[in-house]
Amino acid sequence: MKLSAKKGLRLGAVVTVAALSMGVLAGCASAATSDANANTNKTFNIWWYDDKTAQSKTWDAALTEFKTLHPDITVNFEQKTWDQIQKSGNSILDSDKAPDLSEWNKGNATAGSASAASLLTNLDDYAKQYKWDTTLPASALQVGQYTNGIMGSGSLYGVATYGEYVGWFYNKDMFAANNVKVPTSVTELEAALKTFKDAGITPMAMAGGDYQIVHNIYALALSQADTSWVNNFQFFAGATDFNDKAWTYAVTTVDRWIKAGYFEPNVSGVKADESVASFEKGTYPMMMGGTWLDTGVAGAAKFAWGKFANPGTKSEGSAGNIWVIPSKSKQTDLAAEFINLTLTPKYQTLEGNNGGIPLLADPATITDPTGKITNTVFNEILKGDGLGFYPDWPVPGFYEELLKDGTSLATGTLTPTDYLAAVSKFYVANKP
Amino acid sequence: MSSVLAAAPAADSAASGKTVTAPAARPRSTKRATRRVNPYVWYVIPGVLAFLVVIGGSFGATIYTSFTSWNGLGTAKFVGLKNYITLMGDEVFWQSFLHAGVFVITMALIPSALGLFVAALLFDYIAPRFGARISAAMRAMFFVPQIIPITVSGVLWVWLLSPNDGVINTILRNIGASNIALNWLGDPKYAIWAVSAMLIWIQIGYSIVIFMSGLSRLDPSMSEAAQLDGATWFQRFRMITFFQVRPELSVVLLTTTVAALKVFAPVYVMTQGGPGNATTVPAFFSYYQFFTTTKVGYGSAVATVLALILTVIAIVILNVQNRQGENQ
Amino acid sequence: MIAEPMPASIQLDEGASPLAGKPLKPLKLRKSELVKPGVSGWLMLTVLVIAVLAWVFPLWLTVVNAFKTAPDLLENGPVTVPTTITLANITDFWTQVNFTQKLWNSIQISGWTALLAIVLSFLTAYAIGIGRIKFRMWVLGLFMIAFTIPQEALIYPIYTMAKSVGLYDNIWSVIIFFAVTQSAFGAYMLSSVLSEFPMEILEAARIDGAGTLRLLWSVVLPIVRPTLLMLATFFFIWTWNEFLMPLVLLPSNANQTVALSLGATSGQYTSDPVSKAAAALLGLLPSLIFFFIFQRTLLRGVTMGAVK
Repeated sequence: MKLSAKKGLRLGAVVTVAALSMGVLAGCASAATSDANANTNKTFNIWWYDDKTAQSKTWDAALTEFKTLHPDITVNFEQKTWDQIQKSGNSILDSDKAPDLSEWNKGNATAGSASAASLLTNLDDYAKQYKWDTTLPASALQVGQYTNGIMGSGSLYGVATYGEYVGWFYNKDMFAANNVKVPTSVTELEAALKTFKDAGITPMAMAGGDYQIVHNIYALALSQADTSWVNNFQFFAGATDFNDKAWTYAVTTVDRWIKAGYFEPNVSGVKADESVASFEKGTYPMMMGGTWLDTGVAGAAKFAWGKFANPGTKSEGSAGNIWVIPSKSKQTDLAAEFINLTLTPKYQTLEGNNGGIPLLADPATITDPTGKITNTVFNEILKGDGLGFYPDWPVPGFYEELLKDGTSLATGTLTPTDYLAAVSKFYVANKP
Repeated sequence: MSSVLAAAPAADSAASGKTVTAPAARPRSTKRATRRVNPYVWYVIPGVLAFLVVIGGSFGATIYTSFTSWNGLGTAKFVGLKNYITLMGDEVFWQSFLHAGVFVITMALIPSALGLFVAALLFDYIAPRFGARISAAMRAMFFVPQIIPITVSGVLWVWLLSPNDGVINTILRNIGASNIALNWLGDPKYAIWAVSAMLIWIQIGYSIVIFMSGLSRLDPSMSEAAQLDGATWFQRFRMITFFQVRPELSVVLLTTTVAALKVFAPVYVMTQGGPGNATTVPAFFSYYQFFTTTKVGYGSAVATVLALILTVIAIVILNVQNRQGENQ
Repeated sequence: MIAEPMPASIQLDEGASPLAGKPLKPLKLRKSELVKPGVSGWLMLTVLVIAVLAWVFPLWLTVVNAFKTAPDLLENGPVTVPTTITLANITDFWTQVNFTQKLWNSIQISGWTALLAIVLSFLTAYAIGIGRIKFRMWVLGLFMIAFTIPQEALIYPIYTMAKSVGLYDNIWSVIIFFAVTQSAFGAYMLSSVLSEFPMEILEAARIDGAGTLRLLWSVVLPIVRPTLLMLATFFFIWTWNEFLMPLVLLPSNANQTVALSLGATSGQYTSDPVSKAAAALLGLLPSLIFFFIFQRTLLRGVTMGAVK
């Protein structure tokens, strides 16, 4: 540091003033151009926040074609972040900065409350026009349907173009080395866990300070659940009793697994990044994880890997994030056209070959190995009407509550009974 | 602030006595002079107006919202004192104040004590032996955590403290101390101390800088005399240095105590209040109500109560400080 | 995160060079004046050097991981040095979030905030410290709210206000908000600095017939300019590091700041560790560079709060 304080200051001041005065000019210039654009009304603003996933790659390709179909339209794409949509999504929709089309979070707290506040365009007419209402599976439409902000039925406000689920990743090499077969029932799963533990291997990668613990508990509950149980819990079709068989089974089982050492003892401090990385490294034979991990595992794992569906009756999963057209959109027709483009066989097949799960593709056209593994399991789940959605959908803030209580279960601060009481209390108090 | 307020009366009379436009010597014109608008009033208007509109207006809106039930969209429903009544019985809210109390210790008391010690070492132990340049460089290094974005600090500390691949636990295991390679962020017993460690890391630079500057204004002769009397460095630190920097100490304690009570970002970036509620603090709790459960009315009530409590605490501390100042 | 702005008792020590905080290096020892270190001296120096290294060690982590490949990080964890050095994380992240634009936005937002906050706090402090207006205690008392209300609590009203005046998704909403909150702090600081302003200088100027404006411009301003610059550097870096208010008020990518770009490395369930490391490194570099340029000014500024 040879600069004296005084020189440094003066230099800094000059730089700052120069920068600021340029900023004013730049600001004026950009304001002028955007005005011009607004007058001709030929822009199309589209956002999504998926990044480096099968669907973002697919949508990228679709958007390129869309631009050639509409050379007179200026397409403005913005890559958003999940955090931003989660925190300020409704604020954006409620302003004139809303895009013409965007990927959105499904659920009562997000798309639900926005639809109830008339911030989203009703898509019923477009659904008829493009026949989404008949071609898309009912369970896929359900995530975009809201009545007074409650998901599950009613008018269509959002359209999903892909599916996702939480299944079990497994390390084929470790399974073979220990003579473990792929489990198809809860009993076989327990046996597999025990075999590994007895062989001195901690059987599961788990993030107890992250979403994996939340998913694990709900997945075990779903293994014992039927459709009316799901409808009661998710859509308030009837009362939910957190002391019923399914919930009790789930929580006591996780508690037992923790005590049996099926997870690392310090699991409550582990984040998902770390847990996934350790599975990819080959430390653990099994990991419960969503389809969002497929491409990552495929790229990183140096061993043969596979997936199996959650044993029992149902799995976590649903149609993916939805396209929504904000009420403030100035290009609703173009927006609907783009949604439809992403649902055409061409892009649905591409979704599968990018490693994702298309809703309207012929399974035979999917040649990508990861896409094959993950779609085989998905179709198996669909066949048994096995999609049980995600645990945090019914109530705003439920994810954070489930995470908090799940971590506390892992640390032993909460007993299974305490856990169910806490979750039940939050669910009842915050029910929309 | 205290000095502005405390010094006010004396300075006031001095000013009016000397001001040409308001000669105090002529009793008749005094009345007219005091009724005249002070020409300096115009200069205070932009600041006060901007403050009233931006902060006053939004604080007013927050207070109003605290009497409603609102999810942030559409119209708010007036519910009277309901949110405040819920608040009184909300365990997590009171628990969060307890945690803020812990952070007063680890964000105000400990960094001040450590900072004073390091400042004294750097100032009158290292500097006289190795030159002021070295002690200044060290001071700057200690200050670095103060200026990097808290979002980045959060990422760094999670890397440090992860239980399995974390840097600290890896080191502990490698030196054979795996029994103290604890589950820093996952165990409710340790999480608050893990966040505290980051706070100490951030805060110590602030107190070192202030105390070193305080030390520089001291009269070295006292210390030198003690040295000639054969007092060790530590004795001098305890007997002399500590008492001489008391004014700085009270400033550091005041600023950091209030900062600790409304701490938000460090908790947000490191633990999000978890595990369980083990590190939830009032400001995070209100944020959680705003953005997670979208109970904006309730969140506003939390924020209002927090602001009131902090104002009272700040006023009390300032008064105590003023009284101490008068006693000296 | 510099300790939250908070009113502190401020007074300059008598005789010390006025109004610019404390001199930084009071001890100007010539080599010949140095005390012989001795064994204990070297020991103490070693201990302190180790402590300093520990203090900056976390920054080192961003450096090693930002240049690592993803498999390398997966295999060897975050502590080791990269087996092969790659620039891909940095360049990918830079282009993905358009970091040049984020830098530019941050410079503009922080620069204008600092400038505006300085003007506001100087005017207010001038009326209070030099003008000694009535109700000055009330004004300062009012400003106390700025320190005691948690900023997170003001987000909804500020959002509504910004929208109703057409400043939503405009950097000026953030600039105005931070300029006003920070000027409250600045007004505190400067008021007490100015209340110590040498009376004789003021009197001389008044006798010469200077009005309040000329007094402000040609008498007070030149003398307190270093203090103002010092405050400005603080306002600049505080604003630079803010993340929640910009996140909510600035939805467009074209308006977002450096502190927010770290969020681009995580999804709902996924995150990209090497990219996060690159983002962290890029996020802290500008602050670090700014700090080393303005080091003396900043450190002297911290001491302004503590005196007497």
